[in-house]
Amino acid sequence: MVDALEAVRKRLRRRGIVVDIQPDLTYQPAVSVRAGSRRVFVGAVTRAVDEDILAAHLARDRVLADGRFRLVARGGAIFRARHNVASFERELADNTNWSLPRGFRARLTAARRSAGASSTIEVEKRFDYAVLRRT
Amino acid sequence: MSGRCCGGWRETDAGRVRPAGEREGEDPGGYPSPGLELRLIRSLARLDKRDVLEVGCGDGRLTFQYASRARSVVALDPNEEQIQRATMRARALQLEHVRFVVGTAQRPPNGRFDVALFTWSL
Repeated sequence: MVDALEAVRKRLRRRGIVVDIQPDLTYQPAVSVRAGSRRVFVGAVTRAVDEDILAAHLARDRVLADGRFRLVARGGAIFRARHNVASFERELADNTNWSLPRGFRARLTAARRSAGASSTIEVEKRFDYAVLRRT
Repeated sequence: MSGRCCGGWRETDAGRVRPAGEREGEDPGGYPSPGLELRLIRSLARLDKRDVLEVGCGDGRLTFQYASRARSVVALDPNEEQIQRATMRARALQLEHVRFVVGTAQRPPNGRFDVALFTWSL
């Protein structure tokens, strides 16, 4: 990732910037079932630290410490990804570092049954962003 | 930057920001709803009439949201199938200033850029 930032830096014009958006390193995705304005919390997924995400965050810090970029802005944000059952299962399969707490699937099934067929599964996620200016 | 309020996102008491107006709809793939992410980026960087390099563009999910405003876009992703799909869509939309390229940030194509976007591009 440091290599990537350095390679891109060479392609940036003077005072060019990088906007870097990556998943938050330590957040635990919160899963709810939503029907209309009603939201029922099902549980928080346990999310082990992802080595790639850790590397991305460390790379950011490294290029700043090296003076290759200057930090212009940094922050975090939350959003809710909405799923049907199939796309939620794909999300679980794609994120091999996620594990479900005991009883999660039973609570999810009950919440969906109660909320009705038009309900959606919401996964609350966090991400970090940073704006780096080429020095 | 923490604490700054930006278009469509509002601050939380933890110094973070949250979408102010969440939109209904399903988002397969687990990304933010269309528009929310772009509002955040545009509050951080000017994309209008800029030469933009996007790293990890996938099928152009984000690219097509801002491409019409940029002077030029080079969007990279290692997934050839997704790049083909995005290229076909760009042609259909007659976005001649947008180029989708199979590649990674370690070897970006030649050119000079004002803004580089790394979005979920691990």
